[in-house]
Amino acid sequence: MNRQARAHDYLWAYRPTTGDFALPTNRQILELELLVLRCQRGERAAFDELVHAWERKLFFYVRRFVANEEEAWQILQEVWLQVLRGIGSLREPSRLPVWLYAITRNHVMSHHRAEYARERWLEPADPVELGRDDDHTSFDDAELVYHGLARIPPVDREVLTLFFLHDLSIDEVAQVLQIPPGTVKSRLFKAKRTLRDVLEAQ
Amino acid sequence: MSEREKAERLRERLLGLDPQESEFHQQYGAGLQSTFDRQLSGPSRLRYGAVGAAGLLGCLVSGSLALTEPGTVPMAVRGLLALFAFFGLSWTMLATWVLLRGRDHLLVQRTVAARMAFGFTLITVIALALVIFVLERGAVGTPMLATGLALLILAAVVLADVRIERSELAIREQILRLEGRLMEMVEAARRPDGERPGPA
Repeated sequence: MNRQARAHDYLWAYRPTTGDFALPTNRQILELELLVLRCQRGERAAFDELVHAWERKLFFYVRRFVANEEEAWQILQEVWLQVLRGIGSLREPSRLPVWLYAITRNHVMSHHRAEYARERWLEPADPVELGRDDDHTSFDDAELVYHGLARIPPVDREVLTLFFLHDLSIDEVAQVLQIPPGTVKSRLFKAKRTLRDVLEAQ
Repeated sequence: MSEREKAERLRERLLGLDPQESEFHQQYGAGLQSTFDRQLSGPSRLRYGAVGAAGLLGCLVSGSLALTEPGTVPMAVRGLLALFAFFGLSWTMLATWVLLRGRDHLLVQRTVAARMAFGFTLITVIALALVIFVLERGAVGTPMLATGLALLILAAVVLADVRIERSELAIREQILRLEGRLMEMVEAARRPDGERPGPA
């Protein structure tokens, strides 16, 4: 996917009811591509920058599914090792966010393999008709959202976590979760509704 | 505040709720440093170990032949054997360097290996041609020379492939830097007059 197309299709900017997309700057995507190229050329400082830029977000993602903090950091360390070994083969630097989240997700799933079968993680959500969009502006209390995420089913939590981290487009989330883009939209809609119910019940 | 700014603000607040400076985070930091320093995977260690062992074996066999062959063996042939021993030793040194360094950077290591392979094959072909010419052993030497030339072409293709990959990365990086500068200029031009940086 080219940079312009990607910039027009950010998950956080998507409004199913109106079909509108806010236009993010291309600068961050360009800087990301540059960082990947520097990593591919073997620049050590670039790896440090990569870790610094993504560590918190990937940890946030891991932590939503791994209750033990020590285990979460261990998983993240394994993720970085795989990133270090594999970044040379990343043909499209603009796909870095998808690649990072996919690797992280695989490690989280491996961690939980005994607990959750893969099928359970990937089971399709019940078809949901898209109605009024509950965008992130409705979730303005970060602390409530943070604790609310822990109380919703993993399948909803996963898509909502990616939504709140807003690094990926709909298509990219679909690639990370290995589901069709349409399912991402309906799952996101359902997850928002579930989170809203949880927050209202508090 | 724009939608994007709101979303980014919410994200930052959410990220801030996760513990960042715990004892486990420090352990992770130390582990990560070690990961960066010793990232060579098991298969890679095995691969470089095999290269090192093969190089050492070649060095020992060729070197001992060069030293122990009877005096009737021409000096040119002894020289060729000594050259092969040197090549074997060089591959062992490369493998040792990678294994001791513990880092697996494919492109850098591939470049060094491709240059060595091409350089060594070129020297071998030239040396072989000279020995054949000096000893006038065209019938025996021609198949060896033909094999050497085929290997030289292969080494040249590998070297060209690596150089193309490096050049491609360098060009893409330059283009991205240029794009970045253009974006900066466009953004600067769009800013209201009061926010524009003054002349130096």
